[in-house]
Amino acid sequence: MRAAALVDLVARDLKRSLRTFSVAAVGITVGVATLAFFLALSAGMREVVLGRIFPLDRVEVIPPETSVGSVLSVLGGAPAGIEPSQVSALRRVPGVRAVLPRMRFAFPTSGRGGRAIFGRDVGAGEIPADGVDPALVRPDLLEGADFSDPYGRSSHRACNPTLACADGEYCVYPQIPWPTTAPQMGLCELPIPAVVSPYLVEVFDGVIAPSHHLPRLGGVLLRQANGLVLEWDLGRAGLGSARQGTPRRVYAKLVGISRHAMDLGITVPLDVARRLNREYAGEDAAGTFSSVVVYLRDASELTRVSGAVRAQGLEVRTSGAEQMGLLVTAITVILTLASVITVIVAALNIAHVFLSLITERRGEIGLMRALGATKGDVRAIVLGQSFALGLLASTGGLLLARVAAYGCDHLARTRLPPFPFKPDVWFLFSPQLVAGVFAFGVGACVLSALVPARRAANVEPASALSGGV
Amino acid sequence: MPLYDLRNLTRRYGGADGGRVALDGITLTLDKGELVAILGTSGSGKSTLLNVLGALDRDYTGEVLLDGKELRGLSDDAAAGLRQRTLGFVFQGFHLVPSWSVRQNVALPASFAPTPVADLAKRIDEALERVGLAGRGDDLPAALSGGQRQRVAIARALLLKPPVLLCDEPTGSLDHATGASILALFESLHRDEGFTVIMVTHEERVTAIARRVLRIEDGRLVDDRRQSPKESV
Repeated sequence: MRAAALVDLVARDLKRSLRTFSVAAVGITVGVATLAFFLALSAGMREVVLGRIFPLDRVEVIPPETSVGSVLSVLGGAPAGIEPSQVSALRRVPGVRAVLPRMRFAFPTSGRGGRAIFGRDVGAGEIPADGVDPALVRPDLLEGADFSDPYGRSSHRACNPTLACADGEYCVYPQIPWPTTAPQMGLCELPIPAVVSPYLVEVFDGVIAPSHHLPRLGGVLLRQANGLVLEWDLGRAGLGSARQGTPRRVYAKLVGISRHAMDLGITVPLDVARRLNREYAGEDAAGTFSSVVVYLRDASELTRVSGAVRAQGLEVRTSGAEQMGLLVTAITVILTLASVITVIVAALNIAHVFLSLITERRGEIGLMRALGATKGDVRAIVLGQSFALGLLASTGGLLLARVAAYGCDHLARTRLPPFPFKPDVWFLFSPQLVAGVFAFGVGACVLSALVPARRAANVEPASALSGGV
Repeated sequence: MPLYDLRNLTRRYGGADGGRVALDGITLTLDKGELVAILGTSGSGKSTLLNVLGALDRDYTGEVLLDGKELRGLSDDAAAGLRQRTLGFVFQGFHLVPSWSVRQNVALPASFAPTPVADLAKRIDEALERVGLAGRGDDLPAALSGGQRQRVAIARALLLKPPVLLCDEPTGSLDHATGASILALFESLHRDEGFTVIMVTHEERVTAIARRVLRIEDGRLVDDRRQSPKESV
C-alpha cells in the first residue's frame, strides 16, 4: 500500500468518525497539556532555583571550619585560608572546568551612595567585599570597563577640597575626614571597579526597596546603576575597625552586574583585595584565599569533585542546591506521574474506541481484504489513524499548555507582588520538552492501537463479508 | 490449462470431532471465459465455495489451483495480490462505505495497489459509464436505489479490470426487475468484454443467463450441466 493512499484512507476515516475520535482525543489532549504544563513549570522553576539561586554547575570550596586556623582566628590570629598550592591541585581534579580563587576582605568596610538613582545617598554600615580573578566577571562588565586594580594607573596628584582632581579621579585622603579633622591633602586616585550580584539586586528590590520606599532597581534603573560611584570607607564599619592600618575613604565604581559577584556585598579585582588585605589585615591575609569557586564540567561531576576536595582537607560549602534540586525533582515526578496516568487512561479509552470501531466495521475490513488489502495494510490503516489522532491531540495539548502558561505568566506579572527572584517567565518550553511530550502523546496513541490493529488485521474476510454494510 | 482446477475440495468448520462439513470432496474445473451459476439452497456450501475460489478462505483440504497455482500455498500477501490482480468481487450486501461518494467507493481497490494506478479518474469514469452510472460519481450511496448501489459495487469490481468476477447472490437484495437488469449487465460483461463470471445464488432465474450451471447440495456437487442462454430472465 502506498503512503499517499494510506494518508488518504486515514484522513477519510478520521473525517468519517470525527465525533467519536474527537471525544477519544480529549483525554490525550488534556493529558499532554497537563504534562507539558507541569514539565515546563518545573523546568522554569529549576532554571530559577538551580540557575539563579543555587547554581549546580559550581561548588564553593572553603577551608575546614574546625581547623587550627579557625581557633587562631577566634583568638585573634589570622583566619585559615586556602593556599595557592591547593588551588593548583584543585585545577588538576578530573571533572573540573575552572578554578577561580576568591579573597574575602579580612577587615571591615562601610559605604554610601546612590544619590543619582534614589535621590539621596543610601548607606550600609557593613559592606562585605571580596576580590576575584577579572576573567570571571569580564563578560558581565559595562562596555569599555576596566576590571583591574586602578592604583598603578592613578595620577596620585595632590588634592584637597579646593584642589580638585582631573575627570574620573577622586581625592583620597590618608584618613577618613572627620568633621573635626583639620584640612589635609589627599592624592587623586581612580575609583576601584566593582560588580554586584543579581542576587543582591533581587534582595534589594524585594526586601529593602519596599521597606525604605526606594525605587526598585529593575530594568532602566539597573542600567543607570552601572557607573554609580560609592564612597567606600576602608577599615571602619558599624561593628568596629581594622586591627591595623588607618581607615580611609576610597571610591568604588559599579561596572557591572555579575552572577559571579558575592551574593551580599561587592566584588572587586583580586589584586585590589590582595593589596588592601595586606594593608589592613597583614601579609597572611593577602597570601591565602578565603574560598575557591570550582566550576564543574557537568553537574553530574559534583560527587566526584566533592570527594577530591575533601581528600585535600578542604570542604565544600553546602548551598542547598542538592536539596533544592531533589525537591524540584520530587515535585516534578509527582506532577508528571499524574499527567502520565491521565494519558495512559486516555490511551486505554482510545484502545476501547478502536476496538468498538473495528467490530462495527468488520464487514468493511473484510471488503478491503477482498479487494487486495494485506494484513499489513489493514494494520497500517488502524495505526495510521491512531498516529494521526496522536498528532492532532498532542498538538492541541501543547497549544493548550502554551496558552495556559501564557495566562499564568500574565497573571503572575500583573497580580503577584514583587519578591526576590520573581521570574518574568515561569515556564520553560524547551525544544526538547516540546518534542518529548509530543512524542509521548503520539506514542501513547499508537501503542493504544496496537492490539486493535492486530485484531483488525486478523479479521477473517470470508466470515466478515457474510454481513452487509 | 483451466482457470480453476478443484480436486477433492473439502472444507470443515470447527470441532475436534470433525466438525460440520461445508464442502465435501468437490472436484471440477472452470475455464476462462465461462459464465457459471452455482446454485444451491441456504447452507448448501455455495458461498463457502465462492470464498475458496476467491482465496478468502484457504483453510481447506484437497487442491484448488488458480491458473495452476495452489491457493493454500500462497502467503497472505501473495493471496492479497492475487485477489487484486485477478479477481473482482460483488456481494449481495453491496458493501459500500456510506459516507464516501460513489467515486471514492469505486476507487477503493486502487488504494491497495503497490504502484499508482494510471489514469485513475478516467478508469473510474469508464467503470461508472459501463454500469450505467455516468454522472453519479459525486453522489453518496444513500442517494442511490438498491440496483444502483449494486452497479456501484460492480463498477468497483471492474476498476482494475480483473479477468474474473466472483459474485455472491448479486441479485439477492434486489426486486425482480432490478435483478434482471443486473444480470443483463453481467451477461453483457461476459459476452462483450470476455469476463469470466462465477455467480453463486439460490435463485433459479439467475441460471437463465449462465452457460453452465452447477448445483450444490449439502456441500456436494450434484449437478454440472452446460446450457445455452435463455432469451430473457
